[in-house]
Amino acid sequence: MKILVCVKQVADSESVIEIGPSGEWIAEEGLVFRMNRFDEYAVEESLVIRDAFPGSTVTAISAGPKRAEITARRAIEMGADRGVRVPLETPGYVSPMAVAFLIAAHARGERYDLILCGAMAEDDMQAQVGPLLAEMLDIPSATSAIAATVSGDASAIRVEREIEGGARELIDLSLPALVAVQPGINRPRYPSLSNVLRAKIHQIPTEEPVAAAHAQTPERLVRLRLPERSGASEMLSGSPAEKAEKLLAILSTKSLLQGAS
Amino acid sequence: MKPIVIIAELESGTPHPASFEAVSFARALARLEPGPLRIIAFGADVRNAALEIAAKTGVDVSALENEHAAGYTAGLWKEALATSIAPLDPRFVVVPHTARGYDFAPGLAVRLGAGCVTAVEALQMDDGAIGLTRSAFGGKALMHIVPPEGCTVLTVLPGAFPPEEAAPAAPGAVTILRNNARDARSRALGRTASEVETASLNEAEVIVAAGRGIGKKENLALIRALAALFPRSAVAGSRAVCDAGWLEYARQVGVTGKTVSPRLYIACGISGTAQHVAGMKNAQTIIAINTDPGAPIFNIAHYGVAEDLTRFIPLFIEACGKVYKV
Ligand SMILES: Cc1cc2nc3c(=O)[nH]c(=O)nc-3n(C[C@H](O)[C@H](O)[C@H](O)COP(=O)(O)OP(=O)(O)OC[C@H]3O[C@@H](n4cnc5c(N)ncnc54)[C@H](O)[C@@H]3O)c2cc1C
Repeated sequence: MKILVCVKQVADSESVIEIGPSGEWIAEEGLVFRMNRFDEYAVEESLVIRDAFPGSTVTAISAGPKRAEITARRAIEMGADRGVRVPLETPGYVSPMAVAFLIAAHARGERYDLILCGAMAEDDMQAQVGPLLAEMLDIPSATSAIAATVSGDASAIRVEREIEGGARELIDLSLPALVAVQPGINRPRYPSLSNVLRAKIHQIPTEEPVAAAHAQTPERLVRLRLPERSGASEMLSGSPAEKAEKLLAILSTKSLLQGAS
Repeated sequence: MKPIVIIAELESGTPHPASFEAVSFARALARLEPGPLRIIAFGADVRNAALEIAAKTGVDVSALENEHAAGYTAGLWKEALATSIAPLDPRFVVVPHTARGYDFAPGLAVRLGAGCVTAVEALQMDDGAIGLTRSAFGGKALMHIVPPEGCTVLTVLPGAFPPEEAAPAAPGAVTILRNNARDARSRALGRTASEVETASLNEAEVIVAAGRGIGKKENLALIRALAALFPRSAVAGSRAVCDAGWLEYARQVGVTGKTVSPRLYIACGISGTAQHVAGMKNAQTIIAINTDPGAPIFNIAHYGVAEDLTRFIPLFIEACGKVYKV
């Protein structure tokens, strides 16, 4: 099987997020960039499926600026066979439509049997690229996959979709298909030393830029801002011990603590 | 004036509450950019649901009946909806941001040659244009997005636009249409219910919840010790903690886990993304302990403690011990 896995490079969510001077994106200086956590599960799933079907290959694709190569390489460190970068140099917000269009242009020529994506990107949280890509390539798709099994003859994939309240729905998709996976579908592996060494010398080719030919101009991000604090919230101040005392006093007044009056 | 089309979601033949929220959102949109509303309901058995939706909203409903739609697949939904929406030439197509909605909405947008913006949680005017507000960066920032000029498919975050209370003057008209869409490439095979063992979380008055910020499984001992201070308490976790295998999924709080409303919810090392908050925002008192003062959990917490939980929880337990001799 020929498998494509889509990996996005995002700013580490534990970094302090500040709005950049344009007011339209975060200030990126000093931020750490890494693979979108949701995509790690997609990489793991692609490797599990590849290993179950001898002769299969996994290609990891990342659309982004030059630094996105590191994320494609990270997928190789985890075990992917090759990495590709689609150049996307526009700083700031990029419409998922444009990203899906670029990946579709790559995928069309390659005829993948299976495309895997993460549930969503940690940065823009749109959860769109997977389902957009499937439609652009005219292949069936399912998102929120918490389990996936390829049939023995590699003609179909059975997907368990996680829906509201922890219930699941079962869907069979004929291959080629696209599946967006949910965290929890597997435990992403850590890179092995041999794969890290292999990734080091691996060339990450850059796809030829394709002119975006959209039916219409995409949506525009006009402003990025920090959320307001709700008026009801009170940040406790003081030393850690003073905060502990204050919290204790609050809980006691609300008679939530054992023995409190 | 181009219409605003709302896609109702049905669950075993009855309207999903998110459908009514989508109608509220569409009305808010129409106040900013006027256009007539129309609801489309698609399913194997839609008649009763369509009548109920028309009665409760006063909006006209097109009910698309298709015997193959007893089970959901994105392929079937996109096919059926695209062919019935395209002739209406709408300005907006509004879809609930549910496990189904976000599954088919982007592909539907491609079929309609439309734009797509997901998980919209507020609306406002931005420089004379409609601005859609949605969360980004794990809820640490909010985006204002101006949709493109042509048709745009929008998904609306459940809980953001409460359904209208007032009954309409008159019910909307219901048109039942046969729909012959097929999806030859995917097959729905049915549903399984969620696992049981919800009792302990539902009955608890106090829930102490662990997030990825606990750092390692061993630190659950701290969370358990904190919970032990309270009578009728239980330990729960964020998705990240359950995915890591630190807690069983039956203890996960959020959209794909349990919805809880205890008297007190203590979120420890939880960032506070919309998916988690959806499951606990109705707790009477919310306390958050998180090292990052910018963590979005502090936006909904009643009391915030910006500290390292491995340091703060022992201090708190100690303070309790002094007072109550635990
Ligand atoms: C379709 C879908 C459904 C989902 N359903 C759910 C759901 O039902 N429930 C759910 O919870 N999530 C759900 N998620 C996942 C959700 O988006 C988040 O990824 C998840 O909630 C994050 O968990 P977290 O807050 O524990 O981890 P993180 O977001 O990683 O946050 C960890 C936090 O810990 C803090 N921290 C770190 N160290 C310390 C320390 N020493 N002391 C104190 N604080 C510390 C950090 O500042 C950070 O804020 C869903 C996602 C998708 C796409």
